[in-house]
Amino acid sequence: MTNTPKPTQSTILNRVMPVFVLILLITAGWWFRSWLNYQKPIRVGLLHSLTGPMAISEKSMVDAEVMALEELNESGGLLNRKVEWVIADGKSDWPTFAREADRLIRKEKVDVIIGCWTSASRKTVLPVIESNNHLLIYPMAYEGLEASPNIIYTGSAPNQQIIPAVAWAMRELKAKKYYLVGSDYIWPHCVNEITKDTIDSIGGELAGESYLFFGTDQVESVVKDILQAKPDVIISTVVGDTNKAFYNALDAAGISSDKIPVISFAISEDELRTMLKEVPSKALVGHYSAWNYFQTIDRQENRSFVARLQKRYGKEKSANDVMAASYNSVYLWAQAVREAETTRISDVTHAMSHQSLDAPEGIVSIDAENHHTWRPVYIGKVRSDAQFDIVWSSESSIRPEPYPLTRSHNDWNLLLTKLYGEWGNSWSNPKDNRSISKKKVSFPKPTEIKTLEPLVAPKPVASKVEMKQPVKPPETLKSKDNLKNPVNSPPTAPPIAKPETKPSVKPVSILPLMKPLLEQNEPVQSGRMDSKAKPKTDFSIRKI
Amino acid sequence: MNILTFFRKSILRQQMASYLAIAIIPSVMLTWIISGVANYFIEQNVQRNLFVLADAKSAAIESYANEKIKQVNSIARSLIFARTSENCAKVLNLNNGNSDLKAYEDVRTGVIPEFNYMIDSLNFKNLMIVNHNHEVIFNLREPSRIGRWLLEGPMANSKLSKTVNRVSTLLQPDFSDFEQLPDSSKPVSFIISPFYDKTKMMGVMIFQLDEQDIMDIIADNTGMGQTGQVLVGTKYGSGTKSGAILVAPTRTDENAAFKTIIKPHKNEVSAMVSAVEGGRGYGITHNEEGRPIVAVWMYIPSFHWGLVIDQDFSEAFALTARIRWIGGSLLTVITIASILFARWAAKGQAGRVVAVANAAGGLAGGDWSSRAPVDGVDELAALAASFNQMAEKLEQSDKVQSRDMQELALNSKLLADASEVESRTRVTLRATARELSEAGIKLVSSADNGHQTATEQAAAVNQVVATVEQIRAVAEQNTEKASAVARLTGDSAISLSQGAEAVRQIIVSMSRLRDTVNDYAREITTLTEKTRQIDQITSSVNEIADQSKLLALNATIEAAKAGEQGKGFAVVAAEVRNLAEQSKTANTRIRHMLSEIRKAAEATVVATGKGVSGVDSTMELTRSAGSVIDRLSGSLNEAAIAVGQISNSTKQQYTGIDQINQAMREFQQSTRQLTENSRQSQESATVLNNLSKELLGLTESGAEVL
Repeated sequence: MTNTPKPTQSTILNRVMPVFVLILLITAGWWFRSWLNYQKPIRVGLLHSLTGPMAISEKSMVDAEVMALEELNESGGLLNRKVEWVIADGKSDWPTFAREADRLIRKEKVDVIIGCWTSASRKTVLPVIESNNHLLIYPMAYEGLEASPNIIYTGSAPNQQIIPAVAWAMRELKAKKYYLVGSDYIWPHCVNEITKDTIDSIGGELAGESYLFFGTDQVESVVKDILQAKPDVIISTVVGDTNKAFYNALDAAGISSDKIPVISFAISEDELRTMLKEVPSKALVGHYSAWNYFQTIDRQENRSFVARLQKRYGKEKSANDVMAASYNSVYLWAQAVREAETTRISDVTHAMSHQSLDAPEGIVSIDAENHHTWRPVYIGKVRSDAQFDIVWSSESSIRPEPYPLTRSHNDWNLLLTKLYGEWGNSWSNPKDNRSISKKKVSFPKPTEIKTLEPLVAPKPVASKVEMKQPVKPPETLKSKDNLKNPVNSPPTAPPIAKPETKPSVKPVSILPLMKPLLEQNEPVQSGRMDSKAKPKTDFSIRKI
Repeated sequence: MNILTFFRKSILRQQMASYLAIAIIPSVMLTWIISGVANYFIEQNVQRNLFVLADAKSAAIESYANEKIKQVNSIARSLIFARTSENCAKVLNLNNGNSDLKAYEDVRTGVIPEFNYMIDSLNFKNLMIVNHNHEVIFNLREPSRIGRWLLEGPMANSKLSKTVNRVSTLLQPDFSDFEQLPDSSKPVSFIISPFYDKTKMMGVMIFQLDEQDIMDIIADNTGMGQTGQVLVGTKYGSGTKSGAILVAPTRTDENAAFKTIIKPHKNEVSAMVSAVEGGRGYGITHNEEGRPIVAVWMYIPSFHWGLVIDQDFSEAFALTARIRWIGGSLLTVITIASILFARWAAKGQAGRVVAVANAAGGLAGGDWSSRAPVDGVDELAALAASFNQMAEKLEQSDKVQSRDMQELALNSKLLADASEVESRTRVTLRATARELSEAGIKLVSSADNGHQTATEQAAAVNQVVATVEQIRAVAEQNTEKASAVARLTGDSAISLSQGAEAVRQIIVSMSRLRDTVNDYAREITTLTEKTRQIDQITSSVNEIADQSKLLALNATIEAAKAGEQGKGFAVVAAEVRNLAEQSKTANTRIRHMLSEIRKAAEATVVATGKGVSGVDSTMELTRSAGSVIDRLSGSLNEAAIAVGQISNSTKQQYTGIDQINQAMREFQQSTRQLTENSRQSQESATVLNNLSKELLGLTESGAEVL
């Protein structure tokens, strides 16, 4: 009956308190960890033409890129962060491309830009990229002759598409006479130059060279020329709708694929599908295309890629080289980001140089030296179901060589400068008269002599062309108007002696003349990219 | 709940547990966090290190490849190849074997020095020239090895042959993968390039690489510790089962080249297989022997190789192991030290608490001598000291209490005895009271009797008085009826004899009354004696009650002193006290009653005495009346004689009767007095009876109480 005090409330609290504190600590730690882990999403800029004539082609690139980005997000994102993408519309207009690139970099603050199709758009966007020291991944096969430190080229260089096709034609098709036909802008011209070099080196013969304006259907004169020249194979760099007219015309003229096959560098599964609506299948089947990727490549990675693509976009969707390259671009970039563990451009660019990937077409890897991609080469024969049978494969990936070895770097740069100047500072032929521009058959001269040609005449052009700087003076790009009204636009080049007519120039010591050029590295890539100075830009180059 | 009770039972364990928790939990957490952070950084470091090594290795190999390509490109347009090719073509006829061997030898002799110089300075081992038909038309160091062996024979499907084909289409230099050719001891590789005559491609030239260059690059193990090694492999097999085969010797196996095949693992990533398939990564996996390794792998496009740099996991993460070991041992030391310290500290505190608790337990168990040790000067020592004081006091009080208990027992015994005595006294008292009551009753009846007697007497007296009155009347009438005296004398004589009879009766009753009253007085005396006895007894009872009260008081005090234990006792003592009180009160009342009784008895005695004396006097009077009557009768007789003397004597009679009357009146008065007294006696007796009844009741009730 003595007074023993009951355990008071405070002792019960004493027992509960440590458990409560422990739970509090664990919760705080967990919340803190997830707060640490939360980071802003990574932003990717996709710069393509969603409207305009190029939209049909470039849409596939966007599709492939979006699919790759979605797959990235599904597998947990990048560096534990979500990936967001901003799709900018270049409207098939090069200044718009440059403006959009600027907007993507500055306003949208993307960590990388994947985009462009035509070389014109790429060359217009290049200064923007370089001045901001940003990164552009360019997944389209092109003519090469470029190696910017801020661009990773995941499409093919000329030695991965053009040169093997020509040599193969000689070996397999036993072709001796080649006829070159293309659209009238920078890419077909450069490709044809490379092709001519190749034809020369393998001992073939150039039967003819013709150019068709973009979108034209007046192909009869070319076909007539072809009939006249009687080549063994036609090397075609014709792009766009003109192809329909061209193949129809060939078919109408009785030029079938077993007689004079056409090797095209511009027709892939996408174009085949579109063309088969208007062109009879017999006009197409049996011709060839050369790419680094065909949907019919028999590899496990390709099968799963096509399956995923068709699951995402429908059974009708077909894969082509540019889509595969776009898809690879995203993955290579993602790998680089993971390896660099940051999205800092310089680190990612450096990391990208080492990346390799077991891609649908084969093992692709990026060459550290020239930022191009090792890719395998395939030559495919058109089938009736808008697919290609693969007739030749390099079986392993080829080292990319943006500057074909047949000429020196300088020679190639001079070619570009010349064309650019010829076309009044544009990357496509400004002539609006829809007529074909026919060049006379000519062989490129040996290096020494060839070099001098442009030197003598367009001196003012050469000196006015601004040299490539790693960082562009900012004021030239801040205002949009500058793209339209360039501060310092080189004057229209005086009529240059046409390269076809070979002026007899006496050999002059190269060195003093080459000096100014040597001081200006690769002038081409930073020239005033003003395509508005000429009328009716829209009818010039769209596809490169 | 076992562990909970395990802890709740012992404060020592609780304290130790809390000390250990405070010491060990933060240490463990800190160790865990730090080792986690350190491990993370170590892993980052290992990964970075291996990647740097791998990238450097890859860059070295690629730069070697690039260098070779550039070298080959730079000489591809050198005229010597074109000329040699032309010249060889002229003199060789590989189709029908009609080759001009001498001319061929001349051609060779012309170019061998230059070619030797060229390939030596370019660090090649051999040069072959191949024409458009893929026939080898020139072989620098194996002159006889010319012809169609690239197209037919065992080399037809060799990588060299395939590469020659490829280069013919690609028109650019390319390497042939390392392969083990039939007649070479080591795997060989070639670089194949088209060569030109100005711009025309004339054919393909094959340079044999000095594979030692690459092997030297590969074999350079700087920065890879003891177990790091470089593995270079190429794809082997096809389809889903394709694996890799090593192309270079490893650090541990000189002959691994083209012998060691690596198949894809089922459960974990195989570094080499991933590498040859274009992968680039880092991982912790197992090597072919099953040892855990950390590996970095990447693809080398120039040779289509997979490059793996791996290192034994234990070596790569030796620092981790060391950190873990250090952390573990440190943690163990901390734990042991903490346990010891916790034990020491806990013992210091909890031990003393436990000691006090044990002492208290002993105390609770009845061991009054249990004490707690007093260690130190802090609160716990004060607690122990206070406890000891308390125990001391308890021990003493226990002793006092036991002594008091003994006293109490004694006193209780005394009390019990006294109670017994009292009860016996009570019994006696009761008996006495009963006797008293009986006596009282008797007394009452006596008194009644007495009263009755008195009343009778009074009545008799009245009768006498009346008679005397009559007599007087008669006497009165005597004067008048002297005449009739004679007659009347006879009447008078009768009357006188009647009177004498009455007087005799009176005397008898008087004597009876006196006897009674004497009895009565005796009784009263006895009663008084008895009451005196009672008085004595009551006084002794009072004494006893007093003593009891005292005892009870003592007991109460002892009980109070004893505190809790004495409570029962206190109650008992209180009751005893109550009882004593009641005793006393009863006694007082008894005494009071007794005194009343005594007073009444005395009064009665007095009254009785008076009565007796009255009776005596009455008797005397009566006697005298009797004697008078006798005399009278005598006289009457004489009267008869002396009737004559009646008139004289009538007067005398009258005077005598008057005297008698008066005497009778006095007698009446005294009888009244007597009646009154007897009534008083009766009253007293009644009172006495009542009192004695009360007493009886009291004693009986008291007896019940006792």
